[in-house]
Amino acid sequence: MTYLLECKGITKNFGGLGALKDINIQVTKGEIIGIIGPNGAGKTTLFNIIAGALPPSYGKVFFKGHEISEKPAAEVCRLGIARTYQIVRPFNSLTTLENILIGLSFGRIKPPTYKKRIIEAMNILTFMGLGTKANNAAETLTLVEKKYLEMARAMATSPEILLLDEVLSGLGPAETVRAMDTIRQIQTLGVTVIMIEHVLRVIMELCHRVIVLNYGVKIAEDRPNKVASNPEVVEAYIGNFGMDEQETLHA
Amino acid sequence: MSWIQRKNLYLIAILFLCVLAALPLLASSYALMWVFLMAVYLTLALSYDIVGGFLGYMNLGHSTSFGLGAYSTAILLNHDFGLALALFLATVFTAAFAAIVSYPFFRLRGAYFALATFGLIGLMEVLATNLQHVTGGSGGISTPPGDYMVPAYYLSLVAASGTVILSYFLGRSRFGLALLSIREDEEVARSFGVPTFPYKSLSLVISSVPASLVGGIYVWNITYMSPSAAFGLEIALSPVVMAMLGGTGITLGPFVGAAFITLIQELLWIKVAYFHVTIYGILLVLLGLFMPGGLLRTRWLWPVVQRIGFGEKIDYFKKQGTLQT
Repeated sequence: MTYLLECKGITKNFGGLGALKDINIQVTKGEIIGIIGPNGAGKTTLFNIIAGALPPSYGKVFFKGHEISEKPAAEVCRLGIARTYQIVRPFNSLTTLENILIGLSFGRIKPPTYKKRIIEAMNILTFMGLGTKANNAAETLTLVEKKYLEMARAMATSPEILLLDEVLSGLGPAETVRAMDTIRQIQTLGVTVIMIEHVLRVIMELCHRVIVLNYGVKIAEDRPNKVASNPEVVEAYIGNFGMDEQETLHA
Repeated sequence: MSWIQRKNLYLIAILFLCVLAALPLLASSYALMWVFLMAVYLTLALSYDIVGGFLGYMNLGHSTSFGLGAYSTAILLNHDFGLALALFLATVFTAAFAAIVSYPFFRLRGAYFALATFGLIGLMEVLATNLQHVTGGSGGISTPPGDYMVPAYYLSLVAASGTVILSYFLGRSRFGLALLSIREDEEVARSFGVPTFPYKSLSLVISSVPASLVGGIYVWNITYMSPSAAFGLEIALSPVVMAMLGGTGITLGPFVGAAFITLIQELLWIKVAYFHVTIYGILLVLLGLFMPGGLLRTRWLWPVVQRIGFGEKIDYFKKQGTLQT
């Protein structure tokens, strides 16, 4: 069986620093997959490799059975993998609508005429709750709106896989609920979602499967409730204080 | 100020063009020359703005295209090619040259790109001075003499209005959108499907075409070109200053800047020759410090520009209106 997305033995070294070691991931259509891990675990690096922004040192990424790890980012996007950035990076001095239009004009499915593109862009903006901000410069939006803009721009490229890099961090409780709703809606549109997230509640509620990275190694991959009780995961997140204390006492 | 609308602006533009078209019948040849030079500078400023404004790469070597166009047209004219064929071949040559240099240059960014392109005009000037048997060396090159003022004047008008139209449509095309996204954040643009390198390269080629054409028309009219006139500081910096003074990335910007500067230049030339290059330098510094958006982006002018729809923002308000019905 060919998976929608498959990472085979992805390894990434930055000089002497090993950011990712032999990561294997299989993704089937329609899933919402969560990637969690402490800071510096290599989550964003993994996204960069899948999206074609960085080449892997070793290993290959397959999209629908075709290798994409050698392809440039623009082509990966046109094939149907869109991403958002952890630190929001809208095209600041362009309007919200123009931001979306860029995604629409160069993504996987391009509406043929200018007018259709505008209509489609407005639909996406309304879907994301940014309809009234269409003519505002992106830099004037609030952080929450910018996060939605990131998602909207990614959705404008009509992706099959959407990579969300911590879109929910920094949101208040009510906003988080709304954003989770949006992500669910995106999934019902037939888009496979892979998300990096720190908010555990979100992961528990949204994801079908969770992958845990620690120091560039995949230490667990399971359903959310099982991952949460996995001792290795708990240790990676909270640390092994008890054991450390005992060891230092003995020493 | 309700008369400031896009429709009226078209009307004003057409009226303006009619007046300009009738000018040879009315005005002295000095006035003609003045408008001719202004059209040349406007074309240069607008075509510079494709790379400098839309794409956001400060191309200080834009006059390379002007000079190359001028020199190759002059050489072709001297070999008995007709004007049309000479202009065409010179433009093709210049465009090809732009395509080739875009490859190494667009590996650089920001100040490094500006510096490298600035170095290119230096190289060109040295080449034009030293390849004596082709370019006539430091003495310059002369073309067949004659009174070409009126046809050259019309040609320059055509070139200038063509460039205005090009820039205007670029501002609202898919290609223009790609250039703007590259200006904003190249890496993000790439990850949203914009093939950045081909677009950058193509924009340099497109911007070289009007500059080369106008260089050819210029040399045909003046019948003389020297290395310093083609690749000197003045011709290199003035389009940049014009575009920046008016406002980069807006069709109207270089227009305003070119008008403003040619006026000032005219006054300065009369009073103190050669002082204007100093003024350019000072202006460039002051602009960068106090008015990086240019005249049109100042608080009291920008809303008007946006209302006309001549800014980089497409007027979606109307489109939105049609959506809701």
